Amino acid sequence: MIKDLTEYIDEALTDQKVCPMILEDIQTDPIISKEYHVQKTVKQLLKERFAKNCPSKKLFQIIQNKINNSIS
Amino acid sequence: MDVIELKDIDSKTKQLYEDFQREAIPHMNAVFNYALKITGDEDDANDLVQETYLKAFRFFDKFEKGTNCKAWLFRILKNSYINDYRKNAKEPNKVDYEDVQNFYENIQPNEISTNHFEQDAFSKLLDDEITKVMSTLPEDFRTVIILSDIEGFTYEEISEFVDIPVGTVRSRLHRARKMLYSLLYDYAKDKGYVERNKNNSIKKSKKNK
Repeated sequence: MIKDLTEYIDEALTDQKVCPMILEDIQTDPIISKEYHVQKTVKQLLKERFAKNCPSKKLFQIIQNKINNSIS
Repeated sequence: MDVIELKDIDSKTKQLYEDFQREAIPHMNAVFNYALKITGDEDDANDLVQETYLKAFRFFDKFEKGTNCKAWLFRILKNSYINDYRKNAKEPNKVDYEDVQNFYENIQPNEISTNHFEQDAFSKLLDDEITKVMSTLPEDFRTVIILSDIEGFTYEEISEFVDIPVGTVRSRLHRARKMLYSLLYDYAKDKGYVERNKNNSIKKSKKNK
């Protein structure tokens, strides 16, 4: 079940018929429910906080210059 | 961007340069993100990204066109980190791998309290604090959680990248999330973002202490 739960959270389930069963377990089984919330909370937190970190323009420029110098 | 004057270089190098600009450079945000998460330090991440891109350009003729360039760059980054960089990097204090693994494997699902109060506590954590906590995860677990939850790689892509079966990706991901949740909770508690009481705690198995 934990295997399916992780896949459910990641939308990676190949058998879509399993989805309603997992959903029901999340709503009725306290252990599954907590497992779900732990995984979902962490996934959501990381996605929201870190998906948009960018390198500085300076780093971009340094890399570009070094590549340019290596061929010129 | 400073675009090089291409008229003075041979046509093969020119093509390579143009392909690299088109295929590899657009992934710099993702590569930096990954570097930042595995090093836990911005300066170290900058160095690692530089090294990765310079190596990638040097060996770009080996890159198979039409395949996943982002995954290829990530592999170079990971190898650079393991082979060259990690020896001298400013690493945060690491916990013992076996201890952590045993400890968290024995946390039962019903021993982890989850409610909105804890989620609010997580929301008070700064990005740097989360990065710091994440850097204490064992590397194998940190890698899969970064690739999945931050970079959005599929299980199959992670499997190929880390060279482990898909089932192992899934189980590591599950355990990594549980580990991180527990570590974040403890950190938030230490910082006073959350108060511990009888109904709102993470109990740890004494036999693993």
